[in-house]
Amino acid sequence: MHETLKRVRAGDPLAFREIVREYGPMVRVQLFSHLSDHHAVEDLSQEIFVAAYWALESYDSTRDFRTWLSAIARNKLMSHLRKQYSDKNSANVLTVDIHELMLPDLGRCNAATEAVTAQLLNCIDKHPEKDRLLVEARYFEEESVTAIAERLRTTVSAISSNLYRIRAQLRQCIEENLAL
Amino acid sequence: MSNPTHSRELVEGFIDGTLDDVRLTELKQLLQTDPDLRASMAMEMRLRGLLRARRNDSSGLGDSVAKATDGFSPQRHDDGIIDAIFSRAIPSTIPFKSSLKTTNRFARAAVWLGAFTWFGNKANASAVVSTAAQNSTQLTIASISILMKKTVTSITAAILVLGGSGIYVIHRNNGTSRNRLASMETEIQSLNDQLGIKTTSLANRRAGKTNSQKTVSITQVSAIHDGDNLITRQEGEIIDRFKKQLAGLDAEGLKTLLLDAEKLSNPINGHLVQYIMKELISKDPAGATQLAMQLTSRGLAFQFHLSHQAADAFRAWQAKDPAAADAWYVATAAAGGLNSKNIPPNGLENLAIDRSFARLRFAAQMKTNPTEAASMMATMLPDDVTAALKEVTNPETLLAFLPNLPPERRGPAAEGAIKVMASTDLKAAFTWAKSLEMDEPSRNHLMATGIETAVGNGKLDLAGVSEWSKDLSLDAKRRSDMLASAAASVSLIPRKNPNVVEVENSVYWDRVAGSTDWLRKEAPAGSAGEAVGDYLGKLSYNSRNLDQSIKAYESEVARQGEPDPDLTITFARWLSMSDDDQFSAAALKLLKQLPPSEKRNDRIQLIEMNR
Repeated sequence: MHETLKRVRAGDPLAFREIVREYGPMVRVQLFSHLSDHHAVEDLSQEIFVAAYWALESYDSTRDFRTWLSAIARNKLMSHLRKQYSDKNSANVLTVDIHELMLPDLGRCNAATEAVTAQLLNCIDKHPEKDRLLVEARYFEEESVTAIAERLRTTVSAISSNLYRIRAQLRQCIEENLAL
Repeated sequence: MSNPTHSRELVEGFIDGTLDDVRLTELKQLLQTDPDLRASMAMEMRLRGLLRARRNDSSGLGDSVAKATDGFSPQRHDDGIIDAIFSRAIPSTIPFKSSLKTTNRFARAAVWLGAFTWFGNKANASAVVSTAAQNSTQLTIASISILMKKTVTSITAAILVLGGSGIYVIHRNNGTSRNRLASMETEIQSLNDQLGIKTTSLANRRAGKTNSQKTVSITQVSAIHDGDNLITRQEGEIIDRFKKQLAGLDAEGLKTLLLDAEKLSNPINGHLVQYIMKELISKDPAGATQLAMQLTSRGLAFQFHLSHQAADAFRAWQAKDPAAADAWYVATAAAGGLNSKNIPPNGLENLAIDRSFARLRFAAQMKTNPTEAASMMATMLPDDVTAALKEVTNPETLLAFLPNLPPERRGPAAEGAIKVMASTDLKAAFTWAKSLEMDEPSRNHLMATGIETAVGNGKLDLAGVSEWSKDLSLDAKRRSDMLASAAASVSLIPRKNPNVVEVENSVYWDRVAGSTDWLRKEAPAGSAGEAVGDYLGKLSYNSRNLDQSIKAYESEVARQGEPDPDLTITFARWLSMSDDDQFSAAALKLLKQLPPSEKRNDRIQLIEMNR
C-alpha cells in the first residue's frame, strides 16, 4: 500500500487505479448501507475517490489508509444526505440524525468488509430456501416488509421477526467463521 | 432492548422510509440509549449495503457464492473514477490559448460550448472540449448549429440556459479556474452578436452586481443553489428576476425550457425544477402533471423536487378540472402507468408519484364520493391514508373517516385538521380534539401540536402556552419540544422571503433572556437545560447568525453561573447541523470545554467525523 501511495505521489497517477480497485468495494458497501440508489452511490463513490486523490498530500502515511478514506466517505455521505433531505422539516432532520447516529456502529464494520462479504454469502447459502427467498425479497428486490407480509398472507411482525432471526443467525455465522 | 418486536418494526420502518415524525423521534431516542438496538440496526444497514453492492455486480442470489464473490472488480465503475480524476485535468492540458487565438469566432464558440458542457455535464465534457480544441478545420455556422441542436431545441431556451452562465458556475465552484476563465469570458463577449447570448462580466458578477436588463440564465440560478445553502440578498434578486422571466414564457416555452435544461445538466438542480414547474403548474396543470410523469429517474435532487411538483401539479389539475383529472388518473392507473413511475431517494418512497397521486385522489374523493374513498382505503398503505387525512381541513369530513382507522393512527391523521383550526381558533381546536375517539396520550400530543401551531401563527404568547398546556399530560420530551418550539416561534422574525435568510434581521435577540427564563420555569424537572439548548440551537439554525447565537449562549451560561452540559450538548448539536464549518468548529470548541462524559464524547465524535 505504501509503495502504491509512493508511486501516486511520485507522479504515477495511474497507480491510483490500484487504490480504487482495492478500496472501492469497501466504499461502495459503506455507501450502500445508507443509500439504495446505485446511481447515487456510483456518483458519490466517484466523488470520494476524486476527493481522496486531491487530498493525498494531507494523508499521514503512519495512519491507516482505510480509516482515512472512510472518514472522507463519511463526510461526503453526510453532505449528500443533508442535501437529499435539504427541506428542514422535522422528519428530514430526524432521518439525517438517525443516519448520523449509526455511523460509529457502522464504522466498526468497515475494517472487516471484504472478509465479511465473502462469509455473508456463504452463510446465506447455508440457510433453508424459504429464508433465502425472504432475504432475496427484502434485500435484493428491496420489497418492503409490509409488501412481503401482504404477498405471503402473514403479518408484518412475523416477517420482521423472521428477518431478525435470519440476521442474528447470519451475524453469528459470520462471527464464527471469521473468529471475530 | 425494550419491546424488541416494536423496535424491529421501527428499524424496518426507518429503512422503508415509512416512519412519521413521532416514530422517528421514538427510534432516535431508542438508538441513543440502546447499544444493542444500534448494533442490530447497524447489522441491518450493513447487510443491505453488502447485498446492494453485490446486486450491482451480479444478477441474483441463486448462485450467490460462485458469482458474487468472483472478483469484486467493477472495472467500468473504477475506470469512471480514473477518468473523472483525469478529465478534471483536461482543461489545463488542452491548448485553449492557441484555439482562442484563431480569428474564427465560431471556433471560439465551440471551445466555449465545450467548456460549458464540461461543467454542465461532466460526462461529455472532455469529449466535447477535445473535439473543439483538436479540430484543425475551421468550424462553420452549420457545425455550431449541430453542436447547439444537440443540447438546446429553442432559441428562447438557449438564451435562458446559456446566457451569462458558464463562468459563474466555475467561478463559484472552482476558484483556481478564475484566471483562465476570465480570459475565456472576454472571448465569449465577442460572440454575442453571432449567438444571441447575453453575458454578465465576471468582475461585476464577482462583486455581486448584475445588469438588471440582462437575462438570468438557468445555470446561473443552478450555481446559486449548488453552492452553500446561504442565499445572499443579491442572489435572491437574481432568483426573483429569473422567476419573472419564467412568468413571461407560455406553457410550451416552459416545457421546452425544462426539457432543454434537463438535457444540459444531469442531474438538473432540483430548485430549478421547482421554479419552472411552479410556473408551468399555474399555466397548465394537466401538462405539468404529464410532464412530471415523463421526467423520471433524473437524479436524486431532481426526483426529490419533481416528486413534490408532480403532486402539486395533480392537485392544481384536480382543483381546475376535477372530472378530467380524475378520469386521467383512473385511466392511467388502470393501464399501470402509475406503478413505480418514479423511484424517490431512499427513505422518501412515500413521495413516489403513484403514492402521492393516490393520496390526493383519496382526499378529493372524500369530499365528493365518500364511498369510492372508503374503497380506496383498502388499497392504500396505512401511512398514505394517514398522510391524506392530514390534508383534510374540514373537521366534519375527517370525523367521518377517523373511526375507520386503528386508534394509534387517529392522532397523526388529525394533525392536519387541528393545525388548520388552531391557526385561527385554538379553543375550537381543543374542543374538537376532545370530541375525538382516541387514547389520551394521542389526544394530548395532538393538542400540543395545536398549541405549537397557534404560537407559530401569532395567536398565542408564551403566557398563553403555559395556560393552555398546564392540563395536558405530556411526557417530558414532548413537553420540552413543545416549549422550545413555542419559545423559538416568538423569537424568530418572520421571513419576508422564505428563500432568503436575513442573518442580521432574523431573531428578536432582546427576547431571548425572557424566553429562557420562561423555559426554565415551565420545563419538566431535569429537562430545563436541554430545552434551553434546544431553543438557542433553533435560533442559531434558523438565523445562521453564529456570533449572536454564541453571545446568547454565553449570556445564558453567565446567568446560570456555570456551563450546563445538557444545554451545551443540545446547543452544539444544532450548531453542527449547519453546512457552514465555522458552526461545527464552534460546536466542538464549546463541547471540549465540558468535562468528559459519554454524551459529550459521543457528540464530539459525531461532529468530528462529519466535518
